[in-house]
Amino acid sequence: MKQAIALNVNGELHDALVDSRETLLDTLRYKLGHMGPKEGCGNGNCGACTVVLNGAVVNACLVFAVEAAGADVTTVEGVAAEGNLHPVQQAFIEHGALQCGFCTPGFILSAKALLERNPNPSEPEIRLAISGNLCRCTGYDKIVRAIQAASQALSQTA
Amino acid sequence: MAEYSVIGTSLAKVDAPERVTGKATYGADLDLPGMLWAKLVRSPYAHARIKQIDTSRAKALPGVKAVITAHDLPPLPKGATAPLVGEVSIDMSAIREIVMASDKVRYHGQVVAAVAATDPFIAEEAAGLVDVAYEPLPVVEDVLQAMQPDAPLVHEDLHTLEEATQERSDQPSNIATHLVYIRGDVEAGFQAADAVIEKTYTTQMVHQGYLEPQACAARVEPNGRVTLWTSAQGHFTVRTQLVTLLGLPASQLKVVPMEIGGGFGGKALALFEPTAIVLAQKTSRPVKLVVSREEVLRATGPGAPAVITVKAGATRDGKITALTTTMRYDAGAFPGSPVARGLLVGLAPYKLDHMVAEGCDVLTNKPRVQAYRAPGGTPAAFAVEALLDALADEIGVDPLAFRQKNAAEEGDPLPLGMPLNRIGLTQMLKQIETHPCWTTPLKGPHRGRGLALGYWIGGSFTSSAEVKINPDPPPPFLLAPWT
Repeated sequence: MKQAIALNVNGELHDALVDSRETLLDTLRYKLGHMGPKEGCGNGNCGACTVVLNGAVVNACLVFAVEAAGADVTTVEGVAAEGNLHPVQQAFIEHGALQCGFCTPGFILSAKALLERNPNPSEPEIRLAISGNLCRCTGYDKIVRAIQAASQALSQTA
Repeated sequence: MAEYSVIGTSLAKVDAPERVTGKATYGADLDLPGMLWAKLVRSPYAHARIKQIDTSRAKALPGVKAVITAHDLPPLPKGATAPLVGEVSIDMSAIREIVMASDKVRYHGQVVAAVAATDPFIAEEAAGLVDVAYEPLPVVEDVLQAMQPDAPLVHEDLHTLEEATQERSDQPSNIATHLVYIRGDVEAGFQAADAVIEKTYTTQMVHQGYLEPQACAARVEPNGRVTLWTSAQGHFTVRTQLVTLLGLPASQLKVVPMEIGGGFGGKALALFEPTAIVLAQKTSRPVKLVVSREEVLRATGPGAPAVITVKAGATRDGKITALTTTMRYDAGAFPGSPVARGLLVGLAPYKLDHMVAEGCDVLTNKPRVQAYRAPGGTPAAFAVEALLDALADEIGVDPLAFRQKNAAEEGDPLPLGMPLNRIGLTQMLKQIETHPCWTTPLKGPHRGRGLALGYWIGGSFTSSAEVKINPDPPPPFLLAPWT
């Protein structure tokens, strides 16, 4: 059965006709063309589909699209404001905090959400915040360094 | 370092900006106009004869555009192989069976059919409507059991290849290949030893664990040529396999590499692309095939497990006098485990005057193994190094000193007889003597320190480079335009 929903994705309003069994991830990717969030496992283990839903960091593969009706969603495509890279994105580039890049969209959102609620996180707090994101290419250390650098950069501009 | 402005500096990855912004396009990110979604039908049995496949219920489901079985793949000339660059090889008849089983399934999750439908839900539902009648067969899943003469046969017509003589055994067997490398006189070597230890080590199947499940898409162009987009470890390798498997001329097939979400050896074989292409040919529409994480773990092919026996003897002063090993590698359902590589790299670091290295490539009812980071090297190194540590301990020699006493040098023969190039092993071990990683006192409970040697071969393939100078300002020099 299909249902019409409205979604605000990265500040832009969309209507979508979604299947009742369709995930928010599939709607974002295949109905609205936001291919940034990835499906690595489809069961909430890997975090490659991480998005921010009404301010909460969620796995988009575990949210039905109909549950997100009327919601504000931020995907990785909405992180760089007006084409300027966010300090988290800049830090990931500078610190080489990525290899294949498949997990990166999820990490970027988890890190950005962390720094918004806690601008100066400790290393354990950073590691906890990204504990729902898997990186198979073994980049956690560089990812932690990148988030620390982004925290510093943000505090200097604030 | 200050001498150079580029060498020695850290550069940002050239492809990092598209990755941090979500713009990098992986196989599953393709969304082509009119695209169909494919779904694979997989066997619920680890070993069974396929008696019949009835696709009528699946074909009748609205939205289903095609259902294919192995009969829809072009026939493959017997003995067809594809020159496959990389670290493990495979013959194409095995690839065809992994793409889609023809007469029997040899592992749980082997593909038997595929559907293409207008959306992924319909495709999944249709896959469940393909009726397959199986006759279950006895299963063999353990390497040692598979080597027994009365074990169920994974391939009834497979006879052991004796690598040295290139002869085949009279009786069919699950041992696809048997290799033996011999040097010196091991009996005399063991006689000269003050201590001899023998142990058997079992290692497990491990999956590469790439975060991105396999994904590809195929489109038949109006002129009949095929375009294939795939997240694979080498699009020329994929094209070579597809040319052989599908009988398509290379000029009719364009393979476009997509970003790859990790491979680690597990995405070198064209196991999904043929299905996407045949479905696209049947339907005249683009077809995308993306597998699930469950399918990845269940049936894509992990790194090889092994059961390895090592026996070595040494004198009191730490010199290895003889070493024998039997390495039994589990290839899964089709021949080609990296056992020869295991024999080579496990023993390469040592001077061995008396040696017998024996290997078996063994078939079981499990997914065919694939490469995984130094394929075959890790089980072999684990077994050899653990045994040599035990031997060093037995004779009371420090593990570093033991390695220094037996380390291979330039010119020493590898297990197959070829001489080693300059490898720097003795120099490296000398450095370790005084390195803080080796000398810093251990503090606290449950702390230990180990040392092991590893070896891997270098290789290079055909490559080329093209340099193009663009007239961007400031131009390095003026390019004369053609007149």
